[in-house]
Amino acid sequence: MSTGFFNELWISKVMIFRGIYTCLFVSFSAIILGTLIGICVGLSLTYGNRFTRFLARAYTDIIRGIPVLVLILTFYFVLSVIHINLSALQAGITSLAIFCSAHVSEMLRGGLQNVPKGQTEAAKAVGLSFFQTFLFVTLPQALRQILPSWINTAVEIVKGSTLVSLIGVVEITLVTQQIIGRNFLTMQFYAVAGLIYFLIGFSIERTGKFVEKKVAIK
Amino acid sequence: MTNRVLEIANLEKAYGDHQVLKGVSLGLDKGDVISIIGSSGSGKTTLLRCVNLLEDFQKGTIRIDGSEIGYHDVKGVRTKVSPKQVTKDRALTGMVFQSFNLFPHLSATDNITLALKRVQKLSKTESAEIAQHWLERVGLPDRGSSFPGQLSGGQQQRVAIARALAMNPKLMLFDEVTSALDPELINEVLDVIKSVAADGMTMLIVTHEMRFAYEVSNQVIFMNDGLIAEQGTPDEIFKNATSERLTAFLKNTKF
Amino acid sequence: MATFSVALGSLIGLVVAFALVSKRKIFRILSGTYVTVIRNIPLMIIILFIYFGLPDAGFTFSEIPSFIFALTIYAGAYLAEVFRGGILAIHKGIGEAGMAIGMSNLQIIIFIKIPILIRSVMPALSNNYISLFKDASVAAVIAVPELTFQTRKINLETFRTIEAWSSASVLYVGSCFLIAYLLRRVERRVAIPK
Repeated sequence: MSTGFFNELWISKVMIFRGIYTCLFVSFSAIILGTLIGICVGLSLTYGNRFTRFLARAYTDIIRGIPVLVLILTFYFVLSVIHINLSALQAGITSLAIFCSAHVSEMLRGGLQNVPKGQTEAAKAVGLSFFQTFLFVTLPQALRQILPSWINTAVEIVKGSTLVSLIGVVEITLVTQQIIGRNFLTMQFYAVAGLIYFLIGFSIERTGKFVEKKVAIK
Repeated sequence: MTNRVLEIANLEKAYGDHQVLKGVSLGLDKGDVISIIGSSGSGKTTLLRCVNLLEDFQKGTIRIDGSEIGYHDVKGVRTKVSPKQVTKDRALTGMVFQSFNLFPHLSATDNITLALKRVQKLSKTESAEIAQHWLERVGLPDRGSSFPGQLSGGQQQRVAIARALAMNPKLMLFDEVTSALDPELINEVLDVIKSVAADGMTMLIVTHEMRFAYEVSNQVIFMNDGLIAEQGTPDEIFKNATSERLTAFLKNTKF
Repeated sequence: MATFSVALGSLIGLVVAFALVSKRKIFRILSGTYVTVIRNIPLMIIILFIYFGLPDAGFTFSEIPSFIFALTIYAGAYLAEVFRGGILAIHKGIGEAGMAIGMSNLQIIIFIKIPILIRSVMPALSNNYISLFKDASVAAVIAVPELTFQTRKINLETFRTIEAWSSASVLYVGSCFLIAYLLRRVERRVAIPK
């Protein structure tokens, strides 16, 4: 690679950082929002009555079946038809959050149901109420089990954030294309974009592994 | 204050079509240690689980210290009591499970103090003291900070016994507590149970360990096909069996 | 088209999976890097890189081959993880039994391990296939606006295309459910009786 590349890289550094910032902002907002929603749906899915469970199941299965891009486009375009006009940024975060919530809800259900039945029985035998059992016995064990999958979903969200470039949000992919539009160093800058995504995802994974080790049941 | 800790009358329970308990009646006075023996499917575990309301039952009554638990009369209709009441009733008994069921994410001490703090609302220091007392009682005075995964099966089961005893129950239920243990670890658990019995705890024990049942109980019950087939002192049951079924059963077991 | 890539990706995934658990460190490092890197990069970037970027280095692919190439590499990395889990779950004694009757290592892999692997891994595999198909559809949409170096303001024209694609996606989601259903039936057919 010629020094021209590094020169270009240096010139564009502000744009690139902006792109990274937006990507992280969108991703983390979506992850946090999606996890909160997902927890509510997941709890209804596991402990709700028949009707609530049906709704939660329908929500989870449908959202999980829809490609992320369709979700994003729906929130941006389709909602405007019923006069809910979301900005590209809002639509992007909302759709990714909904996507995240569906996965989190399923994860939570699986984790909670995977805690061995004997645990709840022992908790009952020792006199703990339903809520106390959930808070002190079931949930701590379920969360530890879910952690790897949750980290996985978080990385998926980061990768999904590339798609919001299509509705005009200036994140990494879009910034890369803008830079390439200027200096035509296509291969190099797409490689840079790839590298950036890789580093983000990899750091998330590493952090996840670190947390996993810390809270592991000995 | 009656001396009768547990009174079971005509207990019937079915899983769907399958009738597991066909009318069991049983009484325990304070300090009684009753062992229940019998083959799988005879209903012994189910009986135990009905006593601490882990299972529903369709007919019959269970009284602890004179008060009925599990169901009550609402305008002439037999209805289940509220979940809150069930939780309270369960506090009267302590149960030790075959698979220990220790909470893996909590240390031995925390396993014991969890319910002390949350159910009995004791302070941190009080619960810690009680926990330590019971850990010493079961022979594990310095393993309080160990986690279940770091303990042997026998040690885990002893912690489970401590956990149940710490709640100060009126009645202790033991559900085949040594069946999942390696042979060389069984004795340490049986010894603990014997010493707890010697202290005067009222106990209902389901077990396959015949010699242990002979040594620790003052009454032995042989269950078969959902009913009590024979009941008597350890000598009567193990040495002078009368019914055919019991003789056949004992022939196939170690004693 | 996507089916072809995924099928090809499965083969790659299988090979890479064995490399991941291989005794030779070099295999493990190479395959490990491949899997980790690809799994962290969005499919879109891979496609853009191959279609727009590689020409700079002299490798020019037209749309469809570059799409297939990208999806295959992508699928391979994901499926390798699935297969790896399955390989690790195979009881060690089974390989030893194979050795005891005189089979070579390669024979053991082909005739014993792979059949067992495929059956046990079916559920996770079908899950992954479905998500790969979804990702694939996304990539296809991108090809359209990306072909021109337009500014990112979506104009009416592109909107119509996307609109059309949205309705196609509904059909597509339907076929996803169909695929899931079919895969579940295959799973039941092929499952090792317990």
